[in-house]
Amino acid sequence: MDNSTFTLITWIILTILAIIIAIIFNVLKNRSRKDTFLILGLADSGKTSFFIKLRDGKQVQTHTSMKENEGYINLENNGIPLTKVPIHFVDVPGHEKLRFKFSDFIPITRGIIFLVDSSTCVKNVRSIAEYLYDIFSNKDVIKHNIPTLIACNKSDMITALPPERIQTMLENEINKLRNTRTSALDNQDSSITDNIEFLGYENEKFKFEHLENETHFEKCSVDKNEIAEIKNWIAEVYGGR
Amino acid sequence: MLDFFTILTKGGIVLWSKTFTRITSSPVDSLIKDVLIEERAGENSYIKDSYCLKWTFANELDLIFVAAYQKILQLAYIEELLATVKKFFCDKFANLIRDTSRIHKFAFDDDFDTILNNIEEKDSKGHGKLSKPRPFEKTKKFKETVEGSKKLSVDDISKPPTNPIISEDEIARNIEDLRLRSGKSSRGRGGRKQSGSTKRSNEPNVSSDDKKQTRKKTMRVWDDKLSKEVMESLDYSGDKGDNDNSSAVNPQDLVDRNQLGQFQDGYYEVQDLGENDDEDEFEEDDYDGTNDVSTQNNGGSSILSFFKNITGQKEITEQDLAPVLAKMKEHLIKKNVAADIAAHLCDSVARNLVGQKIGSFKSIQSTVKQSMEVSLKRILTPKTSVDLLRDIAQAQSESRPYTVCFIGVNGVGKCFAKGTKVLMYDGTYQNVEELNVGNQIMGDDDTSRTIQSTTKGEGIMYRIIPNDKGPAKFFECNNQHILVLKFSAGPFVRNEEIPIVNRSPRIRLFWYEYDTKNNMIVKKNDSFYYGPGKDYPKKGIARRAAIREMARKPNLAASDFIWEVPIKDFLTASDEVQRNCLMYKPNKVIFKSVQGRFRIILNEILGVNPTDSQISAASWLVGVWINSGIVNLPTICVNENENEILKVIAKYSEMLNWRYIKESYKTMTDDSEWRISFMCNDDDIENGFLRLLQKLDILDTKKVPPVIMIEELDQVRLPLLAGILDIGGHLLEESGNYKYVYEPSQERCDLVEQVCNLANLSGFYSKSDFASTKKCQDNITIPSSYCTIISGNDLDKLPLVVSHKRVCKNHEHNLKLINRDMVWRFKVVNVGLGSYYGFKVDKNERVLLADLTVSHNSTNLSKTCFWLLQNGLKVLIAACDTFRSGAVEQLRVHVRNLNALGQNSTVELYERGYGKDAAGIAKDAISYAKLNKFDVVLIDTAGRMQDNEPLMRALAKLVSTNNPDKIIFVGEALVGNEAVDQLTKFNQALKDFSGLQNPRHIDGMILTKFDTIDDKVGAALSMTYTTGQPILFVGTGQTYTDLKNMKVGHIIHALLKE
Repeated sequence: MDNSTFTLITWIILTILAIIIAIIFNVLKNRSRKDTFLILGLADSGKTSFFIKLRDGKQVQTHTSMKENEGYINLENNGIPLTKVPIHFVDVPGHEKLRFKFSDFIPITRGIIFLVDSSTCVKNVRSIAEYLYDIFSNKDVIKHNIPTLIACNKSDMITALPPERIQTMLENEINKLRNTRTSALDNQDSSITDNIEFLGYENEKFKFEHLENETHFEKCSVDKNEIAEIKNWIAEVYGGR
Repeated sequence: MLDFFTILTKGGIVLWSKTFTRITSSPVDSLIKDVLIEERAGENSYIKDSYCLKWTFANELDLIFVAAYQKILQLAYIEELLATVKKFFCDKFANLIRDTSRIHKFAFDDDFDTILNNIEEKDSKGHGKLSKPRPFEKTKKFKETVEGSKKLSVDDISKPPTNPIISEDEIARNIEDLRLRSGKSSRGRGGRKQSGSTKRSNEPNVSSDDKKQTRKKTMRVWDDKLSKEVMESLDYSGDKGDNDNSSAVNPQDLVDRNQLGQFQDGYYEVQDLGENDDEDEFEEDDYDGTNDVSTQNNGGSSILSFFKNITGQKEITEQDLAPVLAKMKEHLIKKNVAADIAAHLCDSVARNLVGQKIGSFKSIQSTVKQSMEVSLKRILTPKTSVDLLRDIAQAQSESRPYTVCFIGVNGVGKCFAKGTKVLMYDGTYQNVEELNVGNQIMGDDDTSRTIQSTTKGEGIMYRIIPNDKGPAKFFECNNQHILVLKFSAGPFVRNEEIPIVNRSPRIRLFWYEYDTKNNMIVKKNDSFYYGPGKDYPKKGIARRAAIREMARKPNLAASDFIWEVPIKDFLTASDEVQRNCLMYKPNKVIFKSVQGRFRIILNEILGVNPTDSQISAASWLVGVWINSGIVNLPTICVNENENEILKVIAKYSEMLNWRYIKESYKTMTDDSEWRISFMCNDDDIENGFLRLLQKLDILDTKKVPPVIMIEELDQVRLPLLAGILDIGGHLLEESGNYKYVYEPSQERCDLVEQVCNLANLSGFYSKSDFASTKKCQDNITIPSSYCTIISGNDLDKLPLVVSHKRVCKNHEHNLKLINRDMVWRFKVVNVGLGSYYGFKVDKNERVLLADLTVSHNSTNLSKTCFWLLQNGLKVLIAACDTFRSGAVEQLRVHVRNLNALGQNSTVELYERGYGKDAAGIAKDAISYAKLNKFDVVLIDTAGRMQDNEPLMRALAKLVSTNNPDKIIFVGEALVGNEAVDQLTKFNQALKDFSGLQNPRHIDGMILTKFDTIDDKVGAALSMTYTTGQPILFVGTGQTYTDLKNMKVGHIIHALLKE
């Protein structure tokens, strides 16, 4: 009787300990490592396709995401692995109402891949710029200088613009946004300071080079499997840790 | 029939899809964007272009199943198909789906075709009796599908499709999950997986019951695991009640199964026929069944469920959710969220949660709360840019003005304490708490105001007590109540000659400045020193300079400046300012649209159209009769020495052609008096005066006829009052002020109130009082009694016939005040917490209280304008509210204020007066703005009720002709359920009445009075949910700077706060 009670208690204690350790481990794991790559961009810019392409090398049909896709991916180029360990990727939905989730991942983010649909860029330049503005003015992004790759996807389309054009367009747009954002009305609860920052240098036209964090523009096409540059960039950022 | 069927993950990856025709556009994307992400998953179907889409979730696997067909078709079996496919697919591919580390190929085409064929065929045969087994049952698996679908068909029809299935399903999933977990590639987190597999060893025995009960179709390892439980359920499968559960729980060999299947087929078909009657029963049965399962589960494996809890393996069922969500719903409604929306939202959250696993150490409450939080965040996060300035910049670059159209319902509530009397349009009075929607009350411009809605609540109340010049009664209202005040002090200069040390003599200029930013009046002063070496050489010059300067001061609050200020702000003003604020009332009230009944009555009696003097004469006689007539007789008693009155009676009766006899009569007090009895004319059987009294319905009561109250002022009301006062009133003079004291005999004290009201409506101050000692003009002291005191500027207008009671017209003091609104001082007293009753009215929102005190609230357009001006934009305000009187003037004041506020900002008002076509004015304003390079055009439209079709049509026309860049709805944060109605109807009107291919809708909202609602921010949610559009700003006060961006986090916090 005694013996069995004792065993039971021991078991319970052990179980509780195990659980506590597991939790601590989990928390530590989430907190300490900054090895996640975020795939951001507007809806329909090809984030999920890119994610699947990266993971399986396959082309799949996708719809607007409602939830983020995440996974550990072994990066490889033509069969040659680019990194030793699998990298954690998160594909955050681009819908305006869901994209706020990206800020939850920022603390564990190593790098951001921002996909732009080169073929509809002209039409969407404001939305793209606004999203970028949100990202760049996020206080964690600023604090950790998270490197960002702006990948101009769908470059195979006829109407696609070259990355250089896209870059100038975005710079112009962000330049305008800087003024309007900073002169917006106060927030209702003024005690909370929000993370609207002035990007770049004052009195100077906005340039991506002015940002603290590295930004690159790269051309790519998920459809045509032209994503080698992105892979290399990821490997470089990851390796350069 | 079916156009396509897609199975995709919530992450957006299509796992399997089948297209039957060429699909144009992408309806699934629209479905996700418009419905699922907007948290409208509580809805049932979605129509996009020519497709109708239906969907179902499998939350435990994060899957969405979408079926689409041509919307013109009525496919009743779609829900059944979705449910069947979901169940089948989930069962068959659970492991593959769970493994999210790579893309799998789902070989589902054949199975899908079979399911579809099967269901379609069944559907085409209708719900007819189907007693034969299907001819095409080829595989065991297929048979199971058929059964599954049959069972589901009943479920589907009798209640919402997914719920019962999921709750059963989810148990099956749980088991399967545990069973298959250990072999799977790492997906979960380390610790959990471990415990999952340890637990597995205990599992089979405990849960095999559940498993059999719930896994219906693809159970491959079934046959050897029949338990008592199953037998039991088989036993009562003849019993109607348990069929839902037992149908799926099944026998071991093929023969048995077939028999049972047939039996059940027949059974269910019968059920189908009578389904309507049994609907409730079915529902109950379902719940019973599931409860059974869960009790068994609990009883059999409490330790297990403990482990499940801590290891995060517990899946959420509908039953778990129901109480929590009910509470949540109640909570939301308490926060002023519209009831419908709260319900929708909870449904949506439930759909997203059922089947999910609760994380470690989490209660279901916190899970729901978390899920609700995410949902709310989704809803409230704007899906389009709310950066107005950027939009304006865009318009600038296209060199066109950016147009914003402000629309909204009328006015905001005005709240008074219980018992406050409000003047109705028909001249009667009603207590504020008795007012109903649709009642007509009197406005300050002699037109009616219709009550649009009423509210009540509790708050700090203030009592507004007038001084003795004002109305007798105080009124109480809440601290938001806006006082309409007349400022009475102008600027003045003062000579300060007495030299103080080190200071030369000076002229000081004092003035009151209206601070437009804070809606406050402040006193300021300026010094003009004179003397040698000073700015001005001489006193006279300094004085002139001061006077010159006086006129130049901006925002001067001079006499007659009308200040609309909430009580709480008023109380922060300096004493001096408060002292100089006066309440006012208009001179008199004229009921243009209802008057004329007296004239008609007289017309009937006299047989001819009465002249004005005849009317006056008749009403004077009525007045005299009321005061000193005899009940039920057309007889007037007049003191014998009142010669003037007798003369006038003679004159008037001749004028009206009424005959009377005069007889002397001794009263009980030995006074002699004349009795004047009107009688029939020779040529007329009727007694004119008697008939008049009858028509006025006062013959037996002798009260002041209510009809009179709203009659023509000069011809009817004043003579009547004069008639009453001629006999029963005294004229008093106190330090140059005249007043009448009306003192009826003791038994007629009811007349005091009536005369008081009459005098009030006729442009006098009047109050009823217990007079102490009153002095008559001839210095006779009269005893104290209940009396009416009438004073005012226009007493000379009363056509009294007794000469010594008449007020001399040329009295200096009266001349000075003639034709001015009446004003009086007052004080405000805090009377603590109390309940208030409010109402909203149309038009200019100024209403009259019983004593005609003017009351009002103002709009919010100018706040936006102020912000735009601060950003250096040139703004044109188009006054398209051509309906509400006073609207244009109000804007004019705002424009003046705004211009004064900004250093170099430009704001102009484009106005074309009242009554014109608003759409036209807006159009002209826009072209004017284009010509004159304005950056922004703000279109102010009339507030209108959502049910007022003509006005809504006008609005739609304004919008479609001018196509503004933004249509902003200005709504009140106080509204609850009504918000939904307002917005839907506005949107509907914009759609229906526009005649455009792509009708416009509301693009954003401004919520006003956000400071007054504490954490009851539900309206914000209701509004965004209804329109799917963002709240651009919230108004947090009365001043121009009180416009803020809404913070989503803040709203969510407030909504979920206990």
